[in-house]
Amino acid sequence: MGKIIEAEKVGYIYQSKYQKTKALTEVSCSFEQGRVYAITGKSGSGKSTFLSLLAGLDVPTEGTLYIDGKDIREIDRDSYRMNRASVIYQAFHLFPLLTVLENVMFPMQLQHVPNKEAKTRAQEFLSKVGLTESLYGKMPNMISGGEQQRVAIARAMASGGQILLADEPTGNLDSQNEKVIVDLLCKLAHEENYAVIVVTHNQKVAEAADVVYGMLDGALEVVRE
Amino acid sequence: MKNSLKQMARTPVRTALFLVLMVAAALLMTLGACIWLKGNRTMAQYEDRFMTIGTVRQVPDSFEQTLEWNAETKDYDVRKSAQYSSYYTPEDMLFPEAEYMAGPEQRALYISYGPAYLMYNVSLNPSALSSSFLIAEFKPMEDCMPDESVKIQITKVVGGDQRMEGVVGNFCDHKNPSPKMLYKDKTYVTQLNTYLYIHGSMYDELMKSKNEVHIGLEYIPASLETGLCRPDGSVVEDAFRGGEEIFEVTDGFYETDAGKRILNLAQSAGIWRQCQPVTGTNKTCLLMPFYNRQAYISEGRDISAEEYALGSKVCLAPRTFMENNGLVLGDRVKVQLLYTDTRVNAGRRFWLDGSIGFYSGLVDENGDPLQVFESSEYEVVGIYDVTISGMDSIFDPGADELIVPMESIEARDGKNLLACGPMTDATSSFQIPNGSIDEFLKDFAEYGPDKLEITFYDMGYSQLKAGIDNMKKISLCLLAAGVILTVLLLFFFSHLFITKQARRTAIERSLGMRKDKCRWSMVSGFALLVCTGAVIGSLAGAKISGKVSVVNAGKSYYETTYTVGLTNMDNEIVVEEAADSRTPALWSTVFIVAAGVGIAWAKMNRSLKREPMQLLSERQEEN
Repeated sequence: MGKIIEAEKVGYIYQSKYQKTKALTEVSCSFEQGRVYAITGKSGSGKSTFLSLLAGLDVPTEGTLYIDGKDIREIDRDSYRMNRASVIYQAFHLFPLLTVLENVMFPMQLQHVPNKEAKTRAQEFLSKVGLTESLYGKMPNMISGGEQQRVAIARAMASGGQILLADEPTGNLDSQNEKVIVDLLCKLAHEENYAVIVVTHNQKVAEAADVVYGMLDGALEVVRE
Repeated sequence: MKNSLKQMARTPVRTALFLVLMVAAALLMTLGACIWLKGNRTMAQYEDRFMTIGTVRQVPDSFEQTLEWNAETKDYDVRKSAQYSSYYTPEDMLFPEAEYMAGPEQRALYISYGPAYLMYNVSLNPSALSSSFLIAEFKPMEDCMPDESVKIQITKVVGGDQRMEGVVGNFCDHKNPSPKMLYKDKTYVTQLNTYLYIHGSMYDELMKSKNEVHIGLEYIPASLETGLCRPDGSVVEDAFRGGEEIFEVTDGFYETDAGKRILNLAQSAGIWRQCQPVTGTNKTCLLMPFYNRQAYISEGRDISAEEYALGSKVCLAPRTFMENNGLVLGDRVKVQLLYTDTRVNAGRRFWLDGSIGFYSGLVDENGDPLQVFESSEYEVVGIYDVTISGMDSIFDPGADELIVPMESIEARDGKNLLACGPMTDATSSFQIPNGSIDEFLKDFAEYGPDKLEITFYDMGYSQLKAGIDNMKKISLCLLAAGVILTVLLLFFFSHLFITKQARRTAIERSLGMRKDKCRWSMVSGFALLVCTGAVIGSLAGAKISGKVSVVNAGKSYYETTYTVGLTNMDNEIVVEEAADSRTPALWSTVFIVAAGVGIAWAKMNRSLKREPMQLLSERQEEN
């Protein structure tokens, strides 16, 4: 299986007006489709910064991050996020004023998919994540946390990309929903060939991953492969 | 934008509140701007129509009391006459701080001799006996002491209406405390002036016999002295001053000095029926009859500023004079200046009811008749109508009064001066810029002569301006309130709709939405709401402003605006309400939308600067 993302001595320095803070130091690793990766580490270790770079929301200040073999600095990162990589957050971050269905349709609307087709496909994605039709018209605050996270995953899938980046996806969920989400992410990796990269504190999530990296003070090391 | 609007629509209370408040803010702003603009435009229009005229009166230094015998009361009447150490001239009113638009000027009244013209007083009753200003020989009906009304018969008219010969009238040497006996077998000659009602035993007899009040007029004698005076007000010395007034006609009497003088005076007796007043000015509006609209130009045009400055031989003539003499616009009127009077205006000598208060002593100090001192022809460029008929005010226009440029009269210093006086409200005026009365008076108190009193007429301009200024202050308050409310609303609601939606932006960014699209999505929805509110509010403001027009503030002053032409009833100020409202409404809308877009844009930029991942990692719920 080919490497979809490859980091080569990636470093990142936050630079404010008065100080510089090194968040990542020579991080080298690679990610492939069809596998679940977990990145663990304490708060402030640089996990989210690394995820931000993987999502193309920023670029490394040192080293190189390759996406499909191309330097991330040279690709259209907006397009990359729209078509290749999607992020799932601990707090779900659905659009609170759009319905469940509209939330899932949103990425497709960005891609100018006709409304009717976007609606059909959104229903399919919602079905895949196990949500019933009765929830489609509801607002996010009217459904449970587990359901919201599944909507977030459906929205991520709707972008059509094969890279799912998850930032503590089970952090706000109870154990029952946690298991549902972890299973769903694993299923997406193993059955739908997504590259799932999860940043987590949760040991259970890490255990379900195919590869586990540990992040400590900005440095990444392989914990289990 | 669709998603943005959709999300706004799902917070209906907030969105509706924003819309309503934006409408209110735009309404206030437009209303304020409309009223302010209208106030300015209205004032600008009124500026041209209002005129501020000041009239000048010199206050006497003192009053002198003189005694005059009254044959009716057999006692002296006390006469008070104003005394002036000197007369101020318009030049005394010139000081560097004084900003005159016209004048100051002191107008002389010129008497033009026009035997070729039919004058107003004659036209009223051409066949009426002219009993005034008669020089005649008379005989008393019996020997009498003329210390009361006595009967006389006019035996020969030396000067005046010849038809008066044979007329029996009443006579009294009224002002003479020691009159001389008159004998019925003697003939006397004097100037006969009509004076008061009869009195004495004749009156008592009439009362008894007819049991009614008989009020026949009596004649009194007049002095043979010259009526000439000097510009400083002093009288020209004359040997006949204070002398005899009644002379016995004997053989060779008309060869004596007194006789010769009587013959010379006789030449000018009755001349008043062939005279008309001429007033020289530097601007028509300085003449109070025109300013007060007692007179207005109904045909032709006003004398132009250039004609006034150059002293062109053009004039304004009254319609009655033109019609009585078959004259039309463009015709020339022959003006022969015979006398000058600086004491009064035309209306005090040539009344509009046809009566005339003429001068006596129309000879010089040598007893020679006064001669025409300036003769020229004036083209009639404007015909004016007079709106009053009798006595109205001290400013009344005179019958047959011609208005000419002051500069067109060469002998402006006044030849054949029959009356001389200080500047008075009726003869002296000037124009200053509207709204500068207080400033002028302050400067005048500091730099102007002490003994001059100024009275201003501004046709209510000050009140109007104060009213409009008040409206403008209110409009500025409304405008400021509108602007402040707009800015506050924009900041507050942009905070709700944009800043507090930073997570939404971050989500959109993380889903691959480009920054400019994020910005457009957020700002356009906000801007659409702002624009809707601004348009509705501005239109409402414009509509309301039409009803709260500042013109209403000056409505009661419409009829007082100045024109030398037709009365203002036909000439009301028409404020273009619609055009007045459209511009502020447009600018208010533009301002609000620009401010809305600007603020939203700035806030959106701030939102976009935030790191999406970092923002979305924070454990905060957003609205």
